[in-house]
Parts: sequence; structure tokens; C-alpha cells
Amino acid sequence: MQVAIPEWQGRVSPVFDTAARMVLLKVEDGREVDRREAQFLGMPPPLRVQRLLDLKVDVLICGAISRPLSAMCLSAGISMIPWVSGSLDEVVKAFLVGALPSPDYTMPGCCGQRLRARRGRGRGRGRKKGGPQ
Amino acid sequence: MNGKKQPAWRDSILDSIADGVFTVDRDWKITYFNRAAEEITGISREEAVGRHCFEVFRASICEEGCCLRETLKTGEPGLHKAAYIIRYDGKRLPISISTAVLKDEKGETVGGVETFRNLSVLETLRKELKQRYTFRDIVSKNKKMQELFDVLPQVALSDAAVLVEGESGTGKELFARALHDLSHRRDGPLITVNCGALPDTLLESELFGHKAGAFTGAGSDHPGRFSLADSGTIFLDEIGDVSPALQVRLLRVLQEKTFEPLGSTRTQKVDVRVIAATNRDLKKLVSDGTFREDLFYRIDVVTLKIPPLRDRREDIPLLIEHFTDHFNRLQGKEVAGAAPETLNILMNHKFPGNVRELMNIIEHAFVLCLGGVLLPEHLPDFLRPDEFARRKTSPLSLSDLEAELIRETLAQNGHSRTATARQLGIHKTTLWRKMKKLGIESG
Repeated sequence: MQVAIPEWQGRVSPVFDTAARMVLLKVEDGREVDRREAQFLGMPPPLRVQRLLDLKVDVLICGAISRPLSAMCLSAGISMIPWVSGSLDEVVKAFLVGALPSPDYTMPGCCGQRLRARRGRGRGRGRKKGGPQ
Repeated sequence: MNGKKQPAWRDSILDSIADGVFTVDRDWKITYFNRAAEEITGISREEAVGRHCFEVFRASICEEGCCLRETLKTGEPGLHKAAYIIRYDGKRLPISISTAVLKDEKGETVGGVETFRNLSVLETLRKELKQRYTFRDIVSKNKKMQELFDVLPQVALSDAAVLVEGESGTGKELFARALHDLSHRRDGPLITVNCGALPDTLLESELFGHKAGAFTGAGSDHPGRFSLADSGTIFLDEIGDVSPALQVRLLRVLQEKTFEPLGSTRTQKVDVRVIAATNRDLKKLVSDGTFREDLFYRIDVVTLKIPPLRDRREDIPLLIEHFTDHFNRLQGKEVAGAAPETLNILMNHKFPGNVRELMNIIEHAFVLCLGGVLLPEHLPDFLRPDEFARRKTSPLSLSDLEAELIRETLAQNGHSRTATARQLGIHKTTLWRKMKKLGIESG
């Protein structure tokens, strides 16, 4: 499973729409087996989704995301855990143990809404036996 | 704001203003959040205070262009920077941000203060205003253009031939489209033919069609544009470029609504409305004898004269906005518009290519502008001759200029030092000394 997290100063980037850098994690059997980076600087929203697809991203963990961009990601079949905040390493750890979404890593003002958006049943963690693939 | 107990009246004052205000400490954690900030962001004061400002505020500039960071770095306040924030519901809210340094009684910097204004109401008003000045896809607040907008629906409803006059790039085709869309023929086709783009023989076949074998290479029947435009509208652009022979055939279609395809003896009937356009003075062409008078009066039933852009400069800001929206949609960018200096340059340009030229300029600027506003450096060089000349010459010092002149003169004189020295009016020893000093090889 390929997981993308926009990163800024060691934390989850506050706004996915304008995030400049993406950390890409390869997760197998609930473990991180590879980590690399991709540049997204100055990329307009439709290209961001295309780039995620090119990078074969299955899950996007991000901070704030605008409604149109979120809809584009979902329609492209990318599972999303939006409105996440906190240190990148802690967020990765939480994801690997299946603790995301969590109030501990949620942006202020986002408690009332559905924390996890998913398209395509069975793609995200918890749907398949054995956790992240 | 810096952890000390603040007087209650301070909160009352800050809560009574319509702009959002928050303060941060040196760790970028929010220490104060007023009522307007709660309303604009949708986040309560309790949730916001103690959190990092970028996680609460979530503005498009947090990462790459935070004005508060810039203010704390330089000590200079930031004013009215355009950005958008993403609310908890995913809605993008356009805002304007101003920032200042926050100091304690000793004058030590303890953090920063940011005020922000919700521009969505302004945005709505701006859109409404734009709607007032938009007719179909044509944008203008010019008096003459507004008069054209007023008569366009009546002209469209009649079936009369229309002549659209205007310089190249003024949007004649948009007028033809608007006339067609407002007419009872709107469900029929709108066929456009650029008469100036095709040689005469090809244009004849293109307009009236041909039968198989009508000429070498005519392997099969080909319907003409008049046939294709049946029960719709045909737009003949650059009608002034049509040859006299073809003018006769056009006249017949206009008068009798009939024509014969090339190589055919059967007359075809067609129900079509003709809209013609030209960037030339047809009356002058008539008096010169290059355009038939009878054809001129056939197409000149109603004339719409589109003023050139230089005569309606008030439209330039509106058009910039229109094209900015257009390219934002097309390229998925977030360009807010043109900076005042950019607008100033564009307002002073003569626009020989009219609206099309302006559109091309904005498209050029969009290629170079990644976000924010369109700046003068995003404009093509020909719009900034001073800047271009400065860039060309500024790295040259006096000795650079001297070296360039010597090199040029040497090249002109086949690298003969004697001839070069003579042309420059200096002794050849002086030339040799200068060449040595400036590091010029004699070649």
C-alpha cells in the first residue's frame, strides 16, 4: 500500500492544496518498508490528483483540504484521512497501528465532521484482514 | 496576550470589530482569538488558543508565504495580502491578511498579531457587478458596447443580415455567436467561414460545395457551408477579402436564397441567416470599386460597430479579471488578478491586437505566475521596454561598453588594428593598450 503525507517542517502540512512536498510511504503488513519524497510545489489542484495517481498512491493522509480537491481525490479512487495534524513521525506511527483518525491528531474545528472519507470499500485499513497491505 | 491577565475592555473592543484578529507567541501558538475570527474560521476560541496558528488558520500562504513570519523577520508590518483559508467544512474562503509585530512593555518582541478580513461578500458583489457588465461571453462597461448589448436581442430576433465591423481581435465572432444564440435559429447550426483564410477557388467550393468530378481531385460529393448552415446561421468573417467573382455568387444566395454547388446543374434552396464581419472599411472598398455596392447593401442591413480596445480602456481591468477567471479555471491555478503596477502597464498599452492581444498577454503571464498576483515581470518583454533595456544594459560598466565597442569595430574592420584605431579616432598603441587591459584578443 502506498501512503502519501504532505510534510512541512517535520509536521503534516497544514493545507494539502498548497503543500510543496509529499512523503511517500510503502506499507506492507502494517510496517513501513520504504520512504521517499515527491515535489508538489506550485502544482495546481487537478495536477496534484494526477500526480498522486501517477505515484500509485492508495491512501492520502493530509491536513486541510478543499472540498473540490477532496472530491477529485475520492473520485480518483484515493482513500483519504484528512484534517490530520501533528508531527509526521507520530502520525505515521498512529497510522501503522490503525489509530487514525484520532482526536489526538485532528485539526481544531474538525471534531463534528466525519473524520475519514473513503471510496472503494476494502481499500483502506481495517477493511482487509491483516491491516495495511 | 503574552500570558498576562489582560483587561476585560480589551476583549470587548476586539470582539466588537468585524475583522478576525489573533495573536501568536514566538512558538506560533495562538494566544488570543477574537469573535470575528471564530465566525470566519468556524473554530471556537477554546479550540484555537494553544494550537499552532497554521493548524487553525489553514491559509494558502501558511507554508510558502506566511506574512506573519515575514513581519517577525523584518519587523515591517504586512498589509492586505490576498489568500484563502480552508474552513472545517472544506470551503475556501478568500481573505485579506495584515500583520504586525507584538511587543511587550520593554519593547521586546513577544509574538505577532494577524488581522484578516473575509472577502467572500466582496467577492459576491464583484461577481454581481461583473454580471452586470457581461453580455453572453462579451465583457464591457463601455457606453458604446452597452448600447450594442441593448440592441443585440432585437437584432437577433429579426432575420436581417448583419454586418459586424471591428478591428482584428475585437471579438466579432462572439457577437455572431450571441446573435445566433438569441435568435429563433438557436437550435440550428452556426457555421463560421473565414473568407480571408482560403484562396478564391477553394473558398467557392467550401461555401457552395461540389459534386464528384467537378474538378481534379473532387472524388466525391462535398456539401458546402451554406448547405450545412441550413436552418441556422452562417458567419462570413473577413467578407472584405472576397473576390469580385465570388461576390456575385454570394449576392445571389442573399437575394434568392438559392445556389448551385460546383459541377451541379441543380439549384439548391437554403434557409440561412447571414452575419458578415470585416476589419476593413467596406464603404471605401465600394468607392474603390473592389467591393460590389449591391452586395454591400445586402449585408449592411444592420451594422454593429465594435470599438477597438484603445477606445474603451475602462474595460481593461474587467477583461483582465475575466481572463484571469478563465485561465484559473482552465489551468487550475489560484491567481488573484493583476498587481496595481501590472494594471498600470496594461492601461497604458495601445493594444493594436485588441482584446485578443490582451488575452494572449494574460495567458503569457499565467505561464510565469505560479500563484498570487500577476506582476510586471510576468508580462512579455515588449510591454516593459524600459525594464528590458535596463536588464540588457545594466550589467555593462563603462569598461564593458568600451570592450564591446572595440570588439565590434575590430570585427567590422576584419580585425585590422590600424583600421580599427583609425575608425575609433585613437592611436593604434592606445588601442593595443586598451585591448590588453580589457583582455581582448585581436582574433
